[in-house]
Amino acid sequence: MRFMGKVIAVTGGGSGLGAAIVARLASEGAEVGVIDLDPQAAARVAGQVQGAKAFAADVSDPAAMHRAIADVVSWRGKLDGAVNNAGVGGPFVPSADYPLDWWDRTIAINLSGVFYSMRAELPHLIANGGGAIVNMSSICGFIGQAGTAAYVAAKHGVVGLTKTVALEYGAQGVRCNAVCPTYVRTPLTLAELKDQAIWADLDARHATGHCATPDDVAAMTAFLLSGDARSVTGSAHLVDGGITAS
Amino acid sequence: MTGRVQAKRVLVTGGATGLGAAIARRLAEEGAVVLVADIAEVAGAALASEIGGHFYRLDVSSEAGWTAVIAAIARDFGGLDALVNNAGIASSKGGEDIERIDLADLHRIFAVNVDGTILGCKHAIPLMAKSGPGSIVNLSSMAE
Repeated sequence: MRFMGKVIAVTGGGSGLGAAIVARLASEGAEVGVIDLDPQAAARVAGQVQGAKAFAADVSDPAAMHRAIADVVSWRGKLDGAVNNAGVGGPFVPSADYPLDWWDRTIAINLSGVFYSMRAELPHLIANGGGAIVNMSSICGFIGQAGTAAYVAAKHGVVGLTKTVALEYGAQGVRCNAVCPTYVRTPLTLAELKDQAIWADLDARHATGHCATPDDVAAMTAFLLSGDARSVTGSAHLVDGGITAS
Repeated sequence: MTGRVQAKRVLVTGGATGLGAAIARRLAEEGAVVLVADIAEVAGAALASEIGGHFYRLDVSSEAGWTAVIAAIARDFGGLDALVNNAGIASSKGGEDIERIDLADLHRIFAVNVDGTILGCKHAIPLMAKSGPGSIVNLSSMAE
């Protein structure tokens, strides 16, 4: 029970990776503020575990994120950790033709959203005497991927932001790390990749022979938030079944 | 502790002192059967005794040494679930300044840090493969 008495906010907590992270943190004793654009999804996830509460916010709206984090702090009086997980995918189109509205939307949610979330969280983590942030990047924070310029740029950006915040706030007891998952079957990815043959091919590209699961990502996230990772900050951690090793 | 490595047979090289000893202790706390391998016989045997593990004398740069230790583990424990290639050394000559590096010293560093890790994988993998799912952790450093 590494998170007994700890209050942790999870953005995009209403589905997919975020929901698995909420469940894992709650199972280890955390009180989790489940933040999601979809209030019903947040309420559903929060209702499935002990000690969680739903909050609605759009991470691409800095004022809304500021309020959501303030509401989490009002709920339990403090903030010990945050998982900035909310993200979107987008179409697969080469850069010269990539739709500009999708570029703006992806950067706004996947990169600016992480920045806005950290701006809202950091004062409370500092006031708490320290804490830990985990930002959701991707293998696309390490490598390029044809057809996904906005996603790759945002996820690389998250790694850079993570390192910078780790340097800026380490002295105040705040650690900041990124998790970089490979392909995971979530509502987001299953909606984008409907062809089961593609998933079988993706499974086969991993040294492990399979894509990662939301629980695999949640385990790494929990480690980075926990005291076990007290000397781990400013780094990006692959959960990728070896896919980027070659 | 959580018992995440309950009953796993884990070989930790350089396990007598330092990082290796801390790794061995933590694994034992979480339920592993820890096999401590080191050239330091007194410290290694003492640690193995303290954590309820088993000590094997091993110079990781010696292929004959690996052959013997893996055969002994197969005999004593019937298999191996995980390997931590932790044994390593730095320069004994005070620094690795390229202009002053001593070639014999460099060869010794590579023999332990590189050959030792490769030999560990080479000799442990066949036994690990026969023992079901397994995991190897190689200790590296800040080099990127």
